[in-house]
Amino acid sequence: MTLDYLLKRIFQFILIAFLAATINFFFPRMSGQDPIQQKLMLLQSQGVNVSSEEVAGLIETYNAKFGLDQPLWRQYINYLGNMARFDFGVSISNYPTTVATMLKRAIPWTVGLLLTATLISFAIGTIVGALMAWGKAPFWVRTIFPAFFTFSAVPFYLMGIILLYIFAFQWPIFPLFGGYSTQRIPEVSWGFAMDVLRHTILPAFSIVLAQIGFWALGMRSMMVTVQGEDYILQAEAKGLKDSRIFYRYAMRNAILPQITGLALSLGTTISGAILVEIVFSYPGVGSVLLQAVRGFDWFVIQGVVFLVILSVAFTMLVIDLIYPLLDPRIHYRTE
Amino acid sequence: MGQSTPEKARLMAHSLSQSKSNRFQSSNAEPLLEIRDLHVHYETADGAVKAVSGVNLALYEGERLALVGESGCGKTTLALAIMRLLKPPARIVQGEILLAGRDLLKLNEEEMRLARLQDVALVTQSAMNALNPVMRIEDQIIDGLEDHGYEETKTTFRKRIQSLLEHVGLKANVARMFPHELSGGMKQRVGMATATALNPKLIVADEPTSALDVVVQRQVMTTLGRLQKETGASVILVGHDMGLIAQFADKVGVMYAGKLVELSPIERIVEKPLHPYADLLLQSVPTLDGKRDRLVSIPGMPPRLIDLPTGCYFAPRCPSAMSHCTNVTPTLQPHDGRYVACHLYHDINTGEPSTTATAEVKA
Ligand SMILES: Nc1ncnc2c1ncn2[C@@H]1O[C@H](COP(=O)(O)OP(=O)(O)O)[C@@H](O)[C@H]1O
Ligand code: SF4
Ligand SMILES: [Mg+2]
Repeated sequence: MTLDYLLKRIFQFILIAFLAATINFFFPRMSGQDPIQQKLMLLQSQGVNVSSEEVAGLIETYNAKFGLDQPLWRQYINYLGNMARFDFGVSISNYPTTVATMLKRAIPWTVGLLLTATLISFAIGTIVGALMAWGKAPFWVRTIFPAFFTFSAVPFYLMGIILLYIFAFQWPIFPLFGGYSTQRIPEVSWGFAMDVLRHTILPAFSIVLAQIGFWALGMRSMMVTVQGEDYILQAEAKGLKDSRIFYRYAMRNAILPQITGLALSLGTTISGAILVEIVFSYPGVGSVLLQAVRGFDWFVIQGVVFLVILSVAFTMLVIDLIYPLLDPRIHYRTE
Repeated sequence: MGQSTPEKARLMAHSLSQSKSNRFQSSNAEPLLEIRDLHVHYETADGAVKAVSGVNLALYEGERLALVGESGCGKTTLALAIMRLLKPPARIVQGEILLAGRDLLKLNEEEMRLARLQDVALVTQSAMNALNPVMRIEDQIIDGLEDHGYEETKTTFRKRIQSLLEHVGLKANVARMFPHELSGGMKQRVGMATATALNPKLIVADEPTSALDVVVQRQVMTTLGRLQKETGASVILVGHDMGLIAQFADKVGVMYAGKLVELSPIERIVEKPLHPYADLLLQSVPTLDGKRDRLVSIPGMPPRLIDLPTGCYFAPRCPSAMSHCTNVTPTLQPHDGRYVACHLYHDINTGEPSTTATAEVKA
């Protein structure tokens, strides 16, 4: 890999971020609606007594931030600068909390839950899928697991509801909702960690159950293809041990497309869990987004969208940079 | 089917040792490889595809045997049966494959695994994809050594691999390369280096030169010949190019529809093939630029191996076919220091060489 390529690839990433910010800027302006006005109307229609002090502060911050009295190009430059600093403005519903603060609070929950669940389902699914296609694998692996994968036909939010009903409602082994118990204050302690873990098990399990089948089926079909390759026959002709052929010849090659899939799914981590987070009232980005959509909280929505695009673009960048290490046939040159 | 009893097969395999074809053999030596009445079927939904039907064969130490025949006649199946690398739906229905007196078909999986590379090695048909694309060449050879109990340091392994590569005409830096960095010819050389890594007694090479260009084909064959001489291994070469084969082999076995129909020393079969099929096959010897058109020179199609005709399988295409050819199956019998399965040369009832046979062969 050349430095040229690296620079080119990083430039691409910045370009994507720039485009995302640009769309974020012009989209609401094209709609011709004023989010602040809308918000106020919504509150009034709900009969909420909007204290004039709060409204005045909100409008003032809003105008100062976006300089609505300035020409459009100036607003635009301003906006890009803010985006580059991850300054997404102030939440309308939770004034004066900034969007950045809300996201900073929510991201660890989402990433923690989704990353763990995705990695677990990837690891189990890939190994099981590989074994399912391996003629010499134990009989029970090849018969029991496929039955297990019928769960994958169930969407994971539905799986979540079923798990909640059984293990939190019928037999209250696990909590019904939340990322931690309401009476606890987030802190770094053993007790709090265990509490978080207890809250994570059901949502994580519903994701893992739903995803294992996806990884396993992908891996199985790749393994079937790879086992027909001449290098597997040659490996057997070399008198290699089955385990070596399995890991270093068959799995090692079959896993390459899986890793691309993993990168893509990690990239959508932020947006991927929205439904699960809603079902389990989990305090992640998904729940933040849901609240924002309900409350016409424009700036929060924009922040989340920008973050999602950025995280997808970033994982693509990372996978592009590490892929040549996994597959020596891929090497990047500048043409 | 199953016309030769094991006893008969044994006698016949033994009598093959009387062949004068072989430069290296001593008349009382036991054959290195002895295949007795081997039957291999592919069990498909439509029925059993009889890819190998009753092959008997003996190969002596240091001998080079070429197997020829039209595509689909069972050469690869036979080669893979020797390696015991056939996959379902293939099934070895009956027979024995004795390598240095040991029946490979009776070994357990682990014994067979150890026999591969150590006793019998395979050079595969497709040089292009026979190497693991994500591993360096040296690591792919080291794998084979390690799984046969060799525990050495990386440096020692590397020295060994360097000399293996030099023996097949490759530079030492190839060791650190990945397969996609090599040409087809280089890959096939790596294949040969790997096959000789543990000095096996037998090397099975299944069309090692297919998909290579003509010049490279000759180089690869020359290298294989040199390796054979240096290691003293016996070689079974599956091939279709009679030009290359004549340059390489001591003996030629001609296969047709899963059967060995003629087994002769190379000089003699080139001079005058006995079996009518061998005769037609040899008329299609390619010109030096590698062009050939075998399908034109042998009219008709090989039989479907799923429902084979009675009598001689070649009868429908045979220019010399006689009335009893479609009823009585000819078996491989000795004839004038060679072996042939054809009624032209043998009395149908006794299996003895027929007195009129020579008269009936066209000049
Ligand atoms: N997996 C398979 N299933 C069914 N038939 C097969 C299979 N593999 C090979 N055959 C059949 O077995 C016969 C012998 O094939 P093969 O040994 O590859 O011939 P050759 O190497 O001489 O071209 C062919 O007729 C082929 O159609
Ligand atoms: S046995 Fe008859 S049909 Fe078969 S090759 Fe000989 S002459 Fe031809
Ligand atoms: Mg073949």
